[in-house]
Amino acid sequence: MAIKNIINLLPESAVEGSRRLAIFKTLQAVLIAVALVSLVLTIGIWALSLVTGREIAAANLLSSDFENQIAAYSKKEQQFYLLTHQLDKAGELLNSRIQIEKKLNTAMTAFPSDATLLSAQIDAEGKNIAVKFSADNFEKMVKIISAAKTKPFSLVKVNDFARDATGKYSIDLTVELL
Amino acid sequence: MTQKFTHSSGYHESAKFQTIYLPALIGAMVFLVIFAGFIPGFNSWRENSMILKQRQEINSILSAKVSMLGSLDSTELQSKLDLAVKAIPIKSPYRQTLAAMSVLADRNKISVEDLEFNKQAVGLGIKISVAGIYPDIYSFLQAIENTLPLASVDAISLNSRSDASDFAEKTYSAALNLSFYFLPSPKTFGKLTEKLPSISAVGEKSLRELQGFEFFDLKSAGALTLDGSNRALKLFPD
Repeated sequence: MAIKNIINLLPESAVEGSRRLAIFKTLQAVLIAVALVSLVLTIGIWALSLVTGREIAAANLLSSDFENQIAAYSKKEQQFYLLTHQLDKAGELLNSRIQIEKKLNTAMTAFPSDATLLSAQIDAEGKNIAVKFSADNFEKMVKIISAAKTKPFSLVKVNDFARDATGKYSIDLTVELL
Repeated sequence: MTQKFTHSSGYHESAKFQTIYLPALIGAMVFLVIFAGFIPGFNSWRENSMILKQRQEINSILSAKVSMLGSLDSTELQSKLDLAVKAIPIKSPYRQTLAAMSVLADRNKISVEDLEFNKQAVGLGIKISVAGIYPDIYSFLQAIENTLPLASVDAISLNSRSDASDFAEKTYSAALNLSFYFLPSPKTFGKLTEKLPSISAVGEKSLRELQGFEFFDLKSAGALTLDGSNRALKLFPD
């Protein structure tokens, strides 16, 4: 209360003026600080950019050194590329090759030995095998059909079944290899 | 009479400079420093950093490439390459194929009755008609599948030729459809800054497997009992 009652001898305009001046002085100080910080940051970022530029130059030198070394190994590099190129294909082929001779052997050995195999058609792809047999009696023919129905075969269809004038039987079958 | 306090004009100018012009000047300077100095500097640094990062990545690839190429044994590489090129030749392998067919047919006591070549997307197609007893035909087939260049038997057509009841004596004619593969050399060997391809585990396994395969060149085959060179040459001119 006591302080409030101190008589202010300065005119109102002078008080307002000095208050404004104080505000502007603070603003000025802040601005100067901001300007200084900006200046320092600007110098810093340019210095950093300059250092990075020098590092790029050094990295470029290193690159050209590596490139020269690789150029000296160019024959080896080409051989290596060719090796991987051919090996990829070889690996692919070795994995995808179907051992067709195993299919043939099954067809030749899994049917009764006394049946006469006239022909066999085998494709690498697919499981079907077309076989043609002849037999001199019906009993052998039945054996062939039952062999075609048991493992490792499954009978797909009988394409032809005939008996000629001499009494010989022939059968044309398509079997699936299980 | 009341005394009036007045300021001189110099005092007014100084005050005005302090309160208006100086902050404006400093503000303008801050603006200038930020937009004409800091931002271009930052952009330049960012750009340089990106370039440096890319260059460092390239250098690490190049360095790995140099050390890998340096560690490769030339002799070993050459022998592996020879084997791989025997398995998958870079051009049509009809000469080697003829040599192989000729040697294997003789070795397995098979008589070759006809030979047809056809061009395939993946390589060289051969239809070979042979005659012999079944065990020999079977051995011939097995031998083909273990021969270089890599071949696959696509289809077999077997027909009985004799009425012999003994399985081992019965003769058959067989038409075998075979494919031999070849792969032309790549036109480019990759960019300098590209990583060197690596030999996969499958590739290493294939190499080991291929070492057990037989290869017949024209020298080792001697006098060929098969002749299809002219027909093959028409399909695959050198």
